[in-house]
Amino acid sequence: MSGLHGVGTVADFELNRFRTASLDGKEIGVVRTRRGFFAVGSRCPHQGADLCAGLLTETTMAPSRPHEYVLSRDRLVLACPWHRWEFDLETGRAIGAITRKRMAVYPVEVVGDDVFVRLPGGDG
Amino acid sequence: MIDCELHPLIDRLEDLLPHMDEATALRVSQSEFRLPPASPHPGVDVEARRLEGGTDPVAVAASLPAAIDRALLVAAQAMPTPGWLDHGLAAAFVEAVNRHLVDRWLPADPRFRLAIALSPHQAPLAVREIERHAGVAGVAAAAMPLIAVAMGHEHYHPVYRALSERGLPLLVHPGGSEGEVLGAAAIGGTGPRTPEETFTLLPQVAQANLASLVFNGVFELFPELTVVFAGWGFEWAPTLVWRADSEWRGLRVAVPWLRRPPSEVIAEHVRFVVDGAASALRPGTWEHAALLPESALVYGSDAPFDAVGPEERLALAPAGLRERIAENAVSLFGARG
Repeated sequence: MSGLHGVGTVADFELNRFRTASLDGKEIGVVRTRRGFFAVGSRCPHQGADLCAGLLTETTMAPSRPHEYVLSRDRLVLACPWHRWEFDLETGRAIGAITRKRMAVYPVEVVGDDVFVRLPGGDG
Repeated sequence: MIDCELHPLIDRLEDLLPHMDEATALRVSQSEFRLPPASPHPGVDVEARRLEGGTDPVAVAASLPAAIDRALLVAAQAMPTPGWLDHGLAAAFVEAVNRHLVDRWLPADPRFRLAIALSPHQAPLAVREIERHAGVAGVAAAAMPLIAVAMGHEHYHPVYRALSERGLPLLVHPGGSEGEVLGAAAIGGTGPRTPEETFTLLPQVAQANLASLVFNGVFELFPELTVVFAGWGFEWAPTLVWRADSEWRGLRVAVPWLRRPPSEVIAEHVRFVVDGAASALRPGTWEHAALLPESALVYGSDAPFDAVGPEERLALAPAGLRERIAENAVSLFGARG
């Protein structure tokens, strides 16, 4: 069943800690960050590791000249725990164009104290 | 077809003396200095090759197969300098070798092109050598042996800059002392004890330097540079490329200057010579070749050491790849071909 799916209340979500839910046959990870709520498919598009056990950060390495290291702080980054592939938490795109595979991402809506994940295909 | 690896042999030290300053000439002629043998090639005697005409440019030109349009001269005797402790002498020696080849070999046949030899120890001396000869008609590349400083190190940046600015590819070739002499490129593990180990493990040196080039961002800094591995084989390259791509994906934060997979960088900037060091006469070798980008391979005879004409060496290459190998060399040298 597509559309909006309740995944808890705002108070249920510890900052930067994923909670998972099985929605419409999909394992979805939902996280509250300083930049809002985000929902991702919990399986890494590489080899299926549990992305919700990965490292969530606000920094990664920006493209630079050789042997210069420049931090990028313009996005939230989720790194897979198995092979450290990094994905943009908002878009699902791989950081650094290391692959064309994307992490699945879903819109999150907060209505009052309730948190909903919108899955594609339904009108909610 | 361009032969990207033809070794001109130098007959006698006396041939080089006119190309040295008087002090250096006196020093080498009245000391223990000896003209290096063609040591990268075990079991090959310069004297024996001299008798076969390997030191005579006219005879060598006459022996070129009909299919060869041009032949790049790579002075094997200028490659053993990594083990020399006198870096100034090494630079003076390769300068004399280059002057001799420009003077005697290039005019001998319009098909000859020259890879000017570089001594790798001191970049300013190598740059001076590039500046000295890059404007000479027929100079189409530079050739350098490898030392214990890997090719990704900043040590070489002035050399890469000078080559890039002049459109000269850099060919790297074994020098014969890899893994055996302090200062020469190392071979891993505990080091070889026998020549058989050395030559079996020689591709390690190329692997280490290729990885160093790619991961240290040399081609990001010098996007016009092409590096040609000659004398190391190529069968080992596909697995290195796969591994490099895999490591890059997971460890990109350590090399954020690499904005595309190493395989793409290598396809654009690196070539491997199918010469005597490659097992080109075994069918299985070409299964490896098929795993490399089509841009990767060029042909080299390795004459006079392991002289095999292009028809024979590439006989087992898949249809279409032979033509591509020929085209790759044309692209490699561009206007300098």
